Amino acid sequence: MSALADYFFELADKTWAARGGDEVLLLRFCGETSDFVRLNNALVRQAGHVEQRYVTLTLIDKMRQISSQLALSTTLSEDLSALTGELLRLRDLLPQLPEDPLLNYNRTPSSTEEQAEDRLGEAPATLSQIIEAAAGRDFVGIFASGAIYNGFANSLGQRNWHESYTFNLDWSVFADARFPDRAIKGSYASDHFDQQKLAAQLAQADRGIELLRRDAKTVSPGSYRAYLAPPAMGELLTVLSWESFGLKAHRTKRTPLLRLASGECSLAPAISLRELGSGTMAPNFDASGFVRPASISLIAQGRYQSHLVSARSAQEFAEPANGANAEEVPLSLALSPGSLAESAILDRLERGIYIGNLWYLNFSDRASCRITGMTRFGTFWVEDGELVAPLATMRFDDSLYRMLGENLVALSETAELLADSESYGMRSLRTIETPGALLGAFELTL
Amino acid sequence: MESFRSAFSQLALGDVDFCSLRAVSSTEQQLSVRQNNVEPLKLAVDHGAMLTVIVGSGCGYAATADLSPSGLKQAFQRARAWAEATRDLCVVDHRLVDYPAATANCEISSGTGIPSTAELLEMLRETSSAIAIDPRIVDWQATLGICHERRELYTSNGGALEQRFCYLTPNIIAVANHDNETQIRSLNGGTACIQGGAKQLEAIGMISRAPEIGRQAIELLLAPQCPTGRRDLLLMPDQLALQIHESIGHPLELDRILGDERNYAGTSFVRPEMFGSYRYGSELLDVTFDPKLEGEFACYAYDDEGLTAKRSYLIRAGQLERGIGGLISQARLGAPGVACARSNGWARPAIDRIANINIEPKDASLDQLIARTEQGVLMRSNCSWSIDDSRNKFQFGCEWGQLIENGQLTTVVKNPNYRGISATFWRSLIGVGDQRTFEVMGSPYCGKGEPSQVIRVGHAAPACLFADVDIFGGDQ
Repeated sequence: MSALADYFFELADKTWAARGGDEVLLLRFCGETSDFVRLNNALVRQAGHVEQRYVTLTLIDKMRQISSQLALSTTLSEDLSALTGELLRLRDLLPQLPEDPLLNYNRTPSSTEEQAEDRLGEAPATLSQIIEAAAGRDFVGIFASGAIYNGFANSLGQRNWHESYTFNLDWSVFADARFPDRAIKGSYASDHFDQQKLAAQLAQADRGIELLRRDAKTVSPGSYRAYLAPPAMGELLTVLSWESFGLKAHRTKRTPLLRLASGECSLAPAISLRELGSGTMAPNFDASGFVRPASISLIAQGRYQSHLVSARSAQEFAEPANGANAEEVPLSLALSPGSLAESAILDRLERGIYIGNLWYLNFSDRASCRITGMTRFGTFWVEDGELVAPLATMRFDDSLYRMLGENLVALSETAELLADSESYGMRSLRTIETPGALLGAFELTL
Repeated sequence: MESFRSAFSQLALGDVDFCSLRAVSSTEQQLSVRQNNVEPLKLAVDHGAMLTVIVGSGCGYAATADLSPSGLKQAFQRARAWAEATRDLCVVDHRLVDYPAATANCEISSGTGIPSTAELLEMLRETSSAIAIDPRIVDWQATLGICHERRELYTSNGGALEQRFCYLTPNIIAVANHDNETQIRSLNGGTACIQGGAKQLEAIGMISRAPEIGRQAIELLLAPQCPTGRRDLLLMPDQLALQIHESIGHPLELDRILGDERNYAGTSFVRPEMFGSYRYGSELLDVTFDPKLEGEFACYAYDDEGLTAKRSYLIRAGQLERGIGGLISQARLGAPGVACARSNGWARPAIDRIANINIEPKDASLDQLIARTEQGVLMRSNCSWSIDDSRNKFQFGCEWGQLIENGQLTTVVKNPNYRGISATFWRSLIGVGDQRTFEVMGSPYCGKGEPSQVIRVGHAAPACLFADVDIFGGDQ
């Protein structure tokens, strides 16, 4: 166990000593030690180091609960004083609150530990290698590297810890100052940086850049054959994650998959989607102490299966909790691959659009699960099975029931693991594993 | 203020060219009543500091919640190490940025008179009870976030600033359902966010507005789809907030124009040479950066680099005058900007951010704007937003639509959407409402940056009428 894990559990044990009567205490820990370097034109825009650690203390007394999140200094006496002081404040406030009929937490201790080895090098040295590899290119992006910590403990004796050491270099290379929106995007995420791997990615990007310098193909709004590469599918699955799979969203009828769940609509039999709870980058426990199962089938052979169930939803709708977060948003989605060989993608597409990425997706009609968004990086017009020209940026607006239903021709045979590069609050541990999708028709509108 | 000033003065800065300490502390409470049941009260206490160091042309930062002398010293050393490591590698020579040395201690908003937690929960319970006016309302909720924040900035050239804020984030949500059709109505699409205290909270009128939100959710459930075709579009302030944000605010950010955001949030169709000459909209379009409009969500006196925040025209009579960029972007681009280098907290660095970006009112009443419209749709409260990475081709959807036929408001329609292109959309502005139609809106959720940050923004506007817009509804 790491020094920080020891610190957190010692802090937890000392906090339990301040517990009174029948009180139950929960402590959720999260933190990061990150170096961030922002790059533009293969130069540094901002570089820095961030250390943040937070605990959320939940006080439960019979059917009442209240919680508070505190920033930690990681000096034990100071943090313990802040935490026990906050416990007193919560204890004062608790009687003002009514009983919570949806109170639920894991009462059967289930301890877990996932401790990765730190194989990351020093960030400034890695930065030098990145700049060297990217030299001569209009290289833009973010290098984020370091440790991410998650922990849980309760006064019933449960202890969970998850500590990972990863970097994520999320980058794009732009073609030409004349075309400010034409670029090839790539991502390199791992636990150990290898300059040769980045160099190989950049060499492949250079071939796409040559194509992006050609005159753009402009198409009219209408229906086109299209191949959505895995990052584009990742965007589609990301927007679908909003309220689509949570039990609460289904029971309160907010899910955009209402017609799929009711059986009125279906997706193609090739569509099978799971939320993975083990072997992923994310911790396998939630803030109430429930442990995520290895896999939850959300959609199987195009039919809706089961839900993500948070602790509160479990209580509200009388179903077992399955470790979902409070928002019931997936952390580790996996779409099963299909049979389309990578080497056959362009031939099978024949004439249409190869879409490297999609961007800024949102629902335009939730009842029909209609989604709109833009084409972005690495999107090309294809003729006779060859990439022939960059496509001028286009908007699509189409129903998921058409895209991954009647219009799905095939899924590619390889699923790509996409690590989320966002760092709102802290660096994300969300992943999506997805193949690409060949569509017989894809609706462009603007 | 004295503790950080003192801690900063005790740091041995050595031969660095510049150093700043920016400290942010906050206390927050999130209150919620769902289906008339009080949800668990969530509190938060946060504090931390970011040290920024310039050595030669390099610059580095380090953020920590360890605010002891040794913790700050360690952060200073880490920031210095990054500054050393990025010498001669930066997009800008940081020695050329002339940081101000402002000194002030100001209360931007105080939270005066905010009721006790018990009283607030009672108010939310009353609000919740008033929403569910029909059994087809299957879920409903009243929420309120209250955040007290203190921001301090100390610089090695003598700057010492403290600003205090109180942010209020209210919302009401009604979900109506029948068979496989669901409609959601909310309090201004979640944009009724303001700074202030009891007086401002009272003015929102959560309890009195709740029944209307419930009724409108049911009306939408029974309404026909918004028709498809080209019509005039009357946007109300709570949708204009989003329209201004996405198609004026973001495209005018200088860091986008400089390419910093190209890998994530995107670039801009606005080029540097357009400032001073480009026709952004019709002559009716006056857009200001206004950090002083009382109660607006992103009011402040100084940005996070110590630059004094002043009201400025971004667009005047349709002509583009200046962009949204702080000191560093202004130095890099050689173009005028505004005081807008902001961070969401102590753990992320300041970047160019939208703040209060407003449309100035003119002289048309709402009745006059409706009366002059032969065939149009009035839309309120954003629920869907999407725009390309150059901030040009957009498509937005609203919770509420109502047809305008021969100068009269008529049928309520559901799923109203419209699409257009920023570069031409604002030129189709044909009517701007008066002060009585002017409303102050805000959002806590503007996302941008690498590392990512969400930040508070404010947008105030009168009702605005646009000619001949591509409008459509949901699938039949």
